[in-house]
Amino acid sequence: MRLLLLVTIAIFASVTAIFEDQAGKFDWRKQLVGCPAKITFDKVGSKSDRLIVSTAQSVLASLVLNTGNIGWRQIMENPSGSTNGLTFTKDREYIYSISEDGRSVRVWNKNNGVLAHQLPISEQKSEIQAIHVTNQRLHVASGRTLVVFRLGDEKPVETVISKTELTFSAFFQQDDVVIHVSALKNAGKSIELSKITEDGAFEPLKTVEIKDFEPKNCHVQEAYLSCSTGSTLQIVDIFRQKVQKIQLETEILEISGHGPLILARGAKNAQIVEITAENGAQVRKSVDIGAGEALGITENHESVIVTSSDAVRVVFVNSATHFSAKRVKMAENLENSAPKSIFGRKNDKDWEIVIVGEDCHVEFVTVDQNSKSVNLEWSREESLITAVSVEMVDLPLSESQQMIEDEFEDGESNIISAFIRRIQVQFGQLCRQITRSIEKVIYVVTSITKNGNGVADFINSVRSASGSGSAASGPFERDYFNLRKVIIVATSTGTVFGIDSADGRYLWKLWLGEHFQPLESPFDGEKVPLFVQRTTAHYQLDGLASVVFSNKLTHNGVIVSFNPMVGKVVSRNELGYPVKRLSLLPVHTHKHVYPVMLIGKNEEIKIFPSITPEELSATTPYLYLLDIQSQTVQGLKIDISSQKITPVWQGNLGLTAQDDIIAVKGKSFNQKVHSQGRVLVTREVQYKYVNPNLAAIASINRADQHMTITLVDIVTGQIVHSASIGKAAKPIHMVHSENWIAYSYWSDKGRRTELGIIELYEGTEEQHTQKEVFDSKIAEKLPPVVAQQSYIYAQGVDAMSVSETEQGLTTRSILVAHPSGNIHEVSRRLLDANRPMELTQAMREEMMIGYMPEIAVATEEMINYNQTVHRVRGIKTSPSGLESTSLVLAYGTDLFFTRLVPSGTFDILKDDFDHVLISLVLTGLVVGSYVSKRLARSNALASQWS
Amino acid sequence: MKSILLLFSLIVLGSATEEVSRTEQTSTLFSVEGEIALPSTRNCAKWSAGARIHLNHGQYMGFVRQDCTFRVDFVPTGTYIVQIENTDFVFEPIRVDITSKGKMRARKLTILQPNNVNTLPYPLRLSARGPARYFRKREEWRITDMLFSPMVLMLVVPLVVMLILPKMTANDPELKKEMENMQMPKVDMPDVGEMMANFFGGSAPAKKKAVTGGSGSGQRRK
Repeated sequence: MRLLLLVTIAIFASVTAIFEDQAGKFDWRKQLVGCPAKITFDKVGSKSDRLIVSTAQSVLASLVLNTGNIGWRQIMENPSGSTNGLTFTKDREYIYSISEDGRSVRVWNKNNGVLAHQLPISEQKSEIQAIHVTNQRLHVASGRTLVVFRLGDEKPVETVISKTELTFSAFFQQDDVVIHVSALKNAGKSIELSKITEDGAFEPLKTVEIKDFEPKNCHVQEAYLSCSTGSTLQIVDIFRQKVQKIQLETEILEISGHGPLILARGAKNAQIVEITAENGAQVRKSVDIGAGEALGITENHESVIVTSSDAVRVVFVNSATHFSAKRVKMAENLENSAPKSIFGRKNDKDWEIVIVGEDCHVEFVTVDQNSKSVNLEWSREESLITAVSVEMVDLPLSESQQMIEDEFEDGESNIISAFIRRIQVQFGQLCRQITRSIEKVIYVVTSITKNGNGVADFINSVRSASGSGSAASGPFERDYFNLRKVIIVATSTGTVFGIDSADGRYLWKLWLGEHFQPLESPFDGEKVPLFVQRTTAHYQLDGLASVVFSNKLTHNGVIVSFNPMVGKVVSRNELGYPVKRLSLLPVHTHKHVYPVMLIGKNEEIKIFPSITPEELSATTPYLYLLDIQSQTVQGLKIDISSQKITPVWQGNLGLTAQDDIIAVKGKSFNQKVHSQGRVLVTREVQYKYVNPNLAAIASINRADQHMTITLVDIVTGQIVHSASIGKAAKPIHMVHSENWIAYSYWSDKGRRTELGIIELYEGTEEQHTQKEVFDSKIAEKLPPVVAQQSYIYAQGVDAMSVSETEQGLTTRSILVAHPSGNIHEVSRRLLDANRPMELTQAMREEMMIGYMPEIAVATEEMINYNQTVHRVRGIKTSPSGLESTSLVLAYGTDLFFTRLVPSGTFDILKDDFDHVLISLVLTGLVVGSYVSKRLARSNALASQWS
Repeated sequence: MKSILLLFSLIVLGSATEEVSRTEQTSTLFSVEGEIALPSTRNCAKWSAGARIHLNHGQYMGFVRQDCTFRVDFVPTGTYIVQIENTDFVFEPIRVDITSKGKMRARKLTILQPNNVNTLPYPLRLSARGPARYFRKREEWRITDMLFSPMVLMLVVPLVVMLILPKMTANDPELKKEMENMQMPKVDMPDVGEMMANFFGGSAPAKKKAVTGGSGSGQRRK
């Protein structure tokens, strides 16, 4: 039995795995680090400069300063609360980061990101964290716990646990003296200073009073703690234990600083305060700042950098000079936000500045004082790490395809004009063909003269010329098999990207504004719904896509429509109400736009773009929606023309107060089901129950851990099927397609992940009288026949999706993302509810696979081979022009795009097809036939002579 | 393990101030420790940067130190599946049970029969089962493959029978006689030697023929 399993797996593995030389040919990956919260400049050894970045997504990474590439990256536990990035410090060799919500310190090798030590601090989680490293000791404060380690030692020298909670904790060092400053929860405005002695003991020094002390208004730098209240700045000189007060002109919004300089930012200007031993605190300079400008102090130089979207200003603290340099805009289509924070330092010649935008766009620029120019070294788009919605849009038709469309556009013209048009079109095609061949010849000739004269060079250049049409450098139009698309990605940071699927290039980028806020969904968390309203199929009209979000200030819904090819905003509308739910209407307007319906909290309805009653009359004027409240489930009927919502049915679907709904999955209305039935071994046909109004609801009972999957018809509220599984737990993922629902859950009983499948059939007779459109209201003679099965799966599941092909003919594959970063392709033939327990001869002839309790996970079946994708939130699949091929984008900490062939490439030649061999054989045959003809003739002559 | 417990129950000495208490906690969180054995050709320090330890598919997480040991901290009592995330090797998962007192028991994970007990030593020791293979091999063109393919065999064997056998019998008159007696259906075969001569030195005999007999060449031109 086991052997048989291995054999079947071997067969499938050989179908799904790719060849080694195909790696990177159709796929690309973008590795991301996340939105930087803390950045420090660093030197590794003597060679290369690095940036150590800690991000809001709790990733610690080292970026190569010259290129912006990731040197190494460590993905920590998912952050539970704060998103201010990991607290870390560094010395010459190591990076010390507080991780696991302040429960442990991990020590990383700076060079390669390998873990050197792991130091547990406390079992209590805390967000009050501080870490400091000196030549001999490492000081860590996390919540109530203060720990001192000797470097290289995993045992603490000293552990102190405070009785009361701390609200503030920081370390300061001057020469060899280390002082810990803390504020107790109930102590009000006083802060405690205690000195850490040589052997690690804490020695209380003094208590300092700060007026209106608020930890979040304070900033820590080398020897000073500066706090703001209104327009007053209070600076505590830690080592002299002195508090200095200074009154500024405007209210202080933000404090930053370095060395003896403190930068207090107000609304209109920023004051630079310098502290000296003799004079105390003094305002040295005031810098005017405009809206959308960010500023920061240079780490090792007395200057302040002010950056806006189009210029960088450097202001010297000690002299009256300042200079400004213009930033060069790289591309028209990439719209960046205003800068948020700046990390700068000065080297011998110029300033090196890292600019982080509101949209998590990270840019590294160098500013030269002499030439007053800003040099963009590299940039990274880190907001993609928060990608929430993805769509793939076809490229516009190519010129020749458009001509063909033109030719058949209107059929009512008379014969002569049609003939003339045909001649014109074909002449145009001929011209195009000729120009293209000439271009190709020129390309070949130039590349030959460039590359040398060898035969191999010649062949190579001819080959590359023929392949150049599909390459990324080609024109921006649809390729022959429609394999190249524009991927639209909407992120919860407020950006929308257009990405070329051929190579992962950014085509355009939209910044949705500083008041952007994602919508909240009870099941999926943050959502930024993205709709493709008009594809590029209508070549006279541009495509249209829309993204919906809410305004941070007013909480009203905002809908932004744009052209998906170039990212140009067509319209931006703010609604007068917060969006509660939204849906794409299944009818299109005369301009082929599918409108989006936005429903507010108080049942306000708006449709974008508006639709006229005539346009509506073609189809049903009603839209049915499922409305899930905490206890009840409601079916709503929406009259699109009169914009009225009426509840049709209401119920609890058999769910009790103990049941939590975890996932709801409907079906997309444009899904194609190729065959209506399945042929059984007995030569009977089992018809599929394909109900487009079916929704699957997964819920879990808190009391007895029962997972229930309920299939409900939205229109009638009829429960089609309900299945219950005992001892199940989160994570639960569900995929709903055609006539089946696949789901995954953690089985507490078996201590393993299990995959389940439910298939619905109408039985061996067709139930519906009219087969064209499924109608929920026509009662069926019999309830659907349900087949279900469960399989053991040896891996965890982060996300689940199903492949999508043009006609739905290819066997579908279920894509499962593992926490380890792999994406596993499980064929529907394996995850099948009808795998027989015992294989008969007839079944074997039908190539059926017998039931096996386990779906094995083999490394060959990973569609992303060793290109791991972590924390996958979703996998988007999209059909291509080839029936065998589905395009896949997995998004999480990384983006990974590939082509998927669930049943192999049955409709095109294999890419290793030996053209040389077959042409050799053909010419050989032709030559051989001529030669033998001649031989036969001379032979016949010879035989006549003899 | 002991060291961790010690850490938490560390008695704070002397000089602590009033708000600092002497604490002695008994922990309810434990650590899972282990070591990874790689094939001797691989250096652990390089490999471990890309490796992580998952407990129950990412519920708890740990990193691998440069000496190939690992420790996952703050794990409550329960049963966990320990897996190693990496792209180079395949590891067998291990199941670890932690009792409420912190006693560890490691066993082989048999996913089909979770109640099977097959105890393994603790601290864990995981060794790579083999390199992870993600690709299938391209079929290479080999002469043996071609020669033994049924199509070629079908072609070659009758050819041998038809061409070589008459040659062999030609040198042996007795065998020839025997063969003729066998009354095989006579196949008119072209003479290979002549064929080759015509093929390679095609022009020379043709000229000769043209000189010797004009009628022959005339016939050929028909």
